[in-house]
Amino acid sequence: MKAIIIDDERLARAELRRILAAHPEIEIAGEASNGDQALALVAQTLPDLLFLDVQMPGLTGFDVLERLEDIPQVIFTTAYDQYAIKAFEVNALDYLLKPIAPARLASALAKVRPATGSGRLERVFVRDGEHCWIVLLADIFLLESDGNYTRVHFNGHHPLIRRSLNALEAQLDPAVFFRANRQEILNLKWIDKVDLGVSGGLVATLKNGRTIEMSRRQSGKLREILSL
Amino acid sequence: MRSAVHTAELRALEAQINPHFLFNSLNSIRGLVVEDPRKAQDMITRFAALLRYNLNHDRQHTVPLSQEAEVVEDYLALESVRFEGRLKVQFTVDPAAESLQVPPMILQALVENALKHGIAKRPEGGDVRIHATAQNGVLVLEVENSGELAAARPAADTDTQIGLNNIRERLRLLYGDRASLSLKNGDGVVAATVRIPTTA
Repeated sequence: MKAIIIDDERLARAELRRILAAHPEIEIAGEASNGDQALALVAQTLPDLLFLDVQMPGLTGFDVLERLEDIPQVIFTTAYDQYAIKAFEVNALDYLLKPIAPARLASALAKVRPATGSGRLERVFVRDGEHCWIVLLADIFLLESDGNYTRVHFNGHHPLIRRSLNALEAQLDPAVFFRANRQEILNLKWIDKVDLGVSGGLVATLKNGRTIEMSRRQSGKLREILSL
Repeated sequence: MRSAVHTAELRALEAQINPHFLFNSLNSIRGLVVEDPRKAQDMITRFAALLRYNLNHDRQHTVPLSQEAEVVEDYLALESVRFEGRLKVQFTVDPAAESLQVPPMILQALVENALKHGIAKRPEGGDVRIHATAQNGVLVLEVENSGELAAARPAADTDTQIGLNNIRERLRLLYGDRASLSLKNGDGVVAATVRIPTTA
C-alpha cells in the first residue's frame, strides 16, 4: 500500500512517519509540504492512500482533493478541524487528531481497503458551496451533462462538478457506466428494469425509481450488453 | 471602581489561546522529544508559562509590558518550532516602555494575528517585526507582518475581524477614547499599531 504524507510542518510529517513505522504494509512514497507539491507528488507516485493535513498555506487539504482527478483513499490529519471533516458526507476513511495516538492510527489503517489496481476511476471529490463529498463511483447512479459541468447524482445529492460529461466518460469503466444519450450516463448496476418506450427506444428504470430514456443508437447497444 | 458587568465584559473579550496553535504545538513537541530532547524540555516549559499566563491573567486587568513580552517570546519560540525557517522575527522593546502597563494578551493577540496572515497562510513564510516604544505619554505597540490586508481580498476573514474588534472593545472599556488600534497596509507589509495612554 503506497501512501504519501501531506503536511506543511516538517516535524508533523516526521512524527507521522515514526508512528507509521509500526505498519510495514504502508510504504511512504513521499512527503509534500504544501498543496502544489502534493498535486505533483500524487501525479508522480499514484498513491493508494493520502495522509492529508486540512490547514496548509496556499491550497488547503480540501483544495487539493478538488484538483485531483482520481481520489485515493484519504485519512485527514488535523489539529482542530474535526468539525469541518465530520461535515464531510462520506468516504473519507477517517480523520486523525494531532498529536496522533498510535492506537488511533492503527484503527484508521484497519479501514484501508487493498488497492484494486484497476487503473479505473474509483472516487471523485465533489464540492458544492459549503458541502464536500468524496463519492464512490459505485454510489453514483446518474451523471448528467450541464454545459462544461456534470451533475452527479448520488445518495439524494446532485451537485455539479467542474468536468464535462465527455471528459468523465473517458475515465469510467464501460462495464459499469453506460452512455444513455447525449446528456446522461447511467450506472448499469443501478438498473432495476428496462422497458420499451413510446418513441421506440429503451427506458431504464433505476432501483430508486428514476427513469432514463436511451437514444435510438444506444438502445441497440444496451440490448447487446443486457442480452435482451 | 469597576462594575461586575464591566469586568465580565472584559473577561469575555480577553483572547483565548487558539486551539489550532495549542494542538499543533503539542504535536511539534511530540516530534521534538525524539529529535531534540533538550529543546523539547525547553518548549514544554514555555508552553506551561504561556498556558499559566492565559489562565491566570484575568483577575488583574493590566500587567507590565515586560511580563507580556516574556509570554510573547514564549509564544514565538513555540511557533518557530512549528514554522521552522518560514518564521523570521525581530522583537524590540524600548527599555523606557518595559514597566508600562498593558492589558494582558493584547500584544500576544496582535502577534498571533500577524503570524496567522504573515506566516501560516504563505508557503514561503515571512517576517514579523514587533516594536514597543514610549512616546510622549503614550505606549506604542507596533506589529508588522509580510502580506496584504484581508480587506483587499474579496472574502474578508471573519475570525480576524472578531479578534481585532475584541481588541478595540477591550481598549475602549479600559481607556475610553484615549487608546486606539489602527491597521495599515503598503509595500507588502501589514502593520497593526496599538496606542495606550501611560497614565491611568
